[in-house]
Amino acid sequence: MEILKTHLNKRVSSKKESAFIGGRSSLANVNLRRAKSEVVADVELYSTYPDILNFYTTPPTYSITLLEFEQYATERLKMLRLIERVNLTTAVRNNEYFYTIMKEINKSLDLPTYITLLGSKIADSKGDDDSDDNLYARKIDHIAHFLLRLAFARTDEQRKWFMAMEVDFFRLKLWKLHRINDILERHNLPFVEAKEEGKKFNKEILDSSFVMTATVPSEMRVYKVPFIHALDLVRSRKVFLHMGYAYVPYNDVASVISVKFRSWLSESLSLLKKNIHLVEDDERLRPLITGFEKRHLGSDTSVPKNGEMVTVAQLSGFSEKSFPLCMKQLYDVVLKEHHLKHWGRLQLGLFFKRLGLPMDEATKFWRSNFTKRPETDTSRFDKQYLYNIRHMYGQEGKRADYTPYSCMKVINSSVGPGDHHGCPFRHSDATPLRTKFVEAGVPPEGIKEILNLVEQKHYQIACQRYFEWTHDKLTIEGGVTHPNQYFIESRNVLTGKKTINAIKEEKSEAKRTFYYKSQPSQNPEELMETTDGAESTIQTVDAMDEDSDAIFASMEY
Amino acid sequence: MVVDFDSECLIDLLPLYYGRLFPGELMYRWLSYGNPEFFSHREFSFALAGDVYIRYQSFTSNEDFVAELKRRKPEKIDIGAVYNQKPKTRDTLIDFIPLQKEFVLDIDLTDYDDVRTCCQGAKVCEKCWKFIAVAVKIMDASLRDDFGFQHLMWVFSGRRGVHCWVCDQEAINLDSHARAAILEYLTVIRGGENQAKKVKIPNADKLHPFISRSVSIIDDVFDEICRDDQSMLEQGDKNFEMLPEEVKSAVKDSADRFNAVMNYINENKKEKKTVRTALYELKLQLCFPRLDVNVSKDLNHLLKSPFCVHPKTGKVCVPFDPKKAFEFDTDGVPSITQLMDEINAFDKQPSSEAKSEADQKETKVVVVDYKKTSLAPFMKVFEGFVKELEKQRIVKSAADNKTIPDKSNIRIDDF
Ligand code: SF4
Ligand SMILES: [Zn+2]
Repeated sequence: MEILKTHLNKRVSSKKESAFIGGRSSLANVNLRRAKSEVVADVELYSTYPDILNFYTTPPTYSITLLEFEQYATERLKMLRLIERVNLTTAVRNNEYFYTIMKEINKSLDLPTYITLLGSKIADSKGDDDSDDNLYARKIDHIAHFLLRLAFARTDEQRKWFMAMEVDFFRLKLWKLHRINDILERHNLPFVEAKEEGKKFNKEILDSSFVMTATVPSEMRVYKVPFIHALDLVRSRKVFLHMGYAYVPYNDVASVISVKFRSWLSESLSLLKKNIHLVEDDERLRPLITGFEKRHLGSDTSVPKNGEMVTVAQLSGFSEKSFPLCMKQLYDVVLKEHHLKHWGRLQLGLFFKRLGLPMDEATKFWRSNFTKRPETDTSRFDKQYLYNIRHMYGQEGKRADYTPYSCMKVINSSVGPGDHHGCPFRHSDATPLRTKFVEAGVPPEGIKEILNLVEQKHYQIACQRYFEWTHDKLTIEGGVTHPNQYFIESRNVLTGKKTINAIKEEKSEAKRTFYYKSQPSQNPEELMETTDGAESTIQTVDAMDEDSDAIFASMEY
Repeated sequence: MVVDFDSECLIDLLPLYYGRLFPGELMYRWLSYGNPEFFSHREFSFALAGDVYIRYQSFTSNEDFVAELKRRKPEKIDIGAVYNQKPKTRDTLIDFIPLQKEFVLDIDLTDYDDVRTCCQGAKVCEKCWKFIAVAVKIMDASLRDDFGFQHLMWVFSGRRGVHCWVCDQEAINLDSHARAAILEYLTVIRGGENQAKKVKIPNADKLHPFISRSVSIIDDVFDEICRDDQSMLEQGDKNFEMLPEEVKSAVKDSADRFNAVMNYINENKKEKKTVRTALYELKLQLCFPRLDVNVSKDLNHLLKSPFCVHPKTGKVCVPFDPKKAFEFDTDGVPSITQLMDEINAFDKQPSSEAKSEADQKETKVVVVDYKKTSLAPFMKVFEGFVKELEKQRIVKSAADNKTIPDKSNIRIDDF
């Protein structure tokens, strides 16, 4: 009985929140104590934000102007996109990863809040900077997070992306903080010290974790926690599991905390999704929020549909010159082997759809090739694959309009034996890659350059270079973010429709349109200046403003 | 006894099969988990003759379920998730959300085509079944000893693979994020057709216990499978490319490459870490289970029900004991035709003692039909599994009644 009930009644209750952030109420004391020895100028802010870590369990209650809305959200989006870029180069979250992000943030000119928040000194800052500037940065961090929730709550894909980036940002803060002991205590986390098992399974625990074998075993503190709370470590197989418990060395506890943050965020976002119409109904907010989606580069909306219809007969010519390698590879396999596994069909099929290949043409393509296999006759094909194709075109099932995969999605797809999908720059050995480059006529120095980039895990840049070598050294402005974008850029070059300059112009045009949309009452030129101005981002206007109340009212879901 | 199966007859045999052999009552006891609502909110889907597929069926009772099976005669029954509403009568104005489902694994020999030389595609023989047996051993050990799950049911999928249903309450409650994490833990082989080496061991001297346990399971059968059965690493085998250059160049002219590789490795593994690493990687790449992860990740993904009849082979999808995975013989799994013959034969048997007509009728009712057939041993496995679930529930509810909830407990739950 209880299995079903607990789930049916699942709500993010206020009780639950307070249990998780239970320590918050006692912070007033800490504050008083500290206030004696240090000069903390803004006591109120300090008690709300005792450190840079924020679980974002309660929405902010400040008033901000629409202009600030735009500023805060833009800055945070830039920061999250920076994290995304670093993520493409590595899957692990180790010291090196966090140093890289810190370095990138400090290098950037348009992230003043986050530079202040995380401390500009990389090596020795322990996140103990309680200066006024830092306190304000904590506040903006709080606000900006909730603003982006609004912009990213609507579709599954957006939510997933936002969540992944926010969790990494959260971890970055944990990494900066170093004070796991305080955090454990403050938030009542369910870790039990496992002295006995720590000794008994000493070897297993050492073999499983990041801990260096050189660590003196007797000094290693081990906590035991149900594995469900240590999913990150489970996923990377970096923890010893025994009978449902994860045995987590002290050093790995941070990772466990971020998992909790993730699941909480996930729950809040799906609740928000249900109420998002309240925000969308607000005429002042709608353009801000919908415009944001457009900046989520690499996502579907940023890729224009190919104007014309495409027929099967054209595909072979296109694949030679204009398909990115990820699609050319799949296309060649279909022609050669008359078969493709599920994820390959999806990756290529959705790419075709966005190319402008109508459903009947797509059906023709798949059917004529697949039925070349002796075991697949037409009726078998119709039985096994037709539904799938109709599904891609939104004609079956949920009737959703499935969106073609962005580079990020392709690069991060999981690829197993028998699979040909994924991004060749990431999912191929050097030898087959080299063959492909030679076939495409890339000269030796180009091949060397591209393979070097691959080695450093800069897959998209490698793809961009490949584009340049195969398109008379013309480039894709702003980099490769989507296979369909690659295609369109390639067509534009090959048909001489556009010189590179023309492409540039179109881009800034799009940018202006966006600002114009979001602030119809203002001169777009002026607004762009303000947004880029550094100091204005940290200021918060506390004056009551009817406009802004609406924002947070709708957030109290 | 192997009886030829003719898929044309399936439709005629199914009503009888569902009426007399299909374990409706046990299925209900399993899938209700002691809670009728849990059964009635469960999605079932049917594949009917003529390629009709109907989703979102649901039933309130065992009788209701079996009656519909007899009426619709599905060629395949799929089990989906438990939803917040009854799937069949769902209100489309309210969200329809999958809440819970068993954690399932799907292992199929078609995913082994890069290491099988005995068969390809849909074909299976007792040689390639050994891959499945290894997979069962490795997964079963990890799910029990690492994750602490107890209620595992392994089912033969009717042709060339197996399914595992993990039915502990903790497993049923997992969200898809947690499911994905467990799968990552259980996945070792990564990489597509353009990557020769699909396993990476970061440090051969610091093996995760899951890896070292898996390697030792593989060790027992490695030579038998890879050398004797499948003649791997010989000319033309792509897997050879995964080995480090030094091993490749040392053995490249050898006629018997498998033994040459193993000899070279054994001679050098003490001194060279690269060779030790290569040995582990080789064993894992050739024998480690390939999982179909998509089936396991999503909450609303469907999986074929146990005791379905496979429409191509006519074989029943039967549960089996994972400890005896190596002894499991797919030819020994009864087909629907065979089962019907057995029932008929039993029905015609003259009773040993002379009895009145009425008595005879009585006996027929008393002897449960499946007991007359070769389905009996498999049914026993299923019954044992269901009883274990029930026993555990009783123990648990007794324990729950005893403990007085205290504050510290609540905190942990909330986390
Ligand atoms: S970088 Fe993007 S477009 Fe290029 S091959 Fe990879 S996935 Fe395809
Ligand atoms: Zn075989």
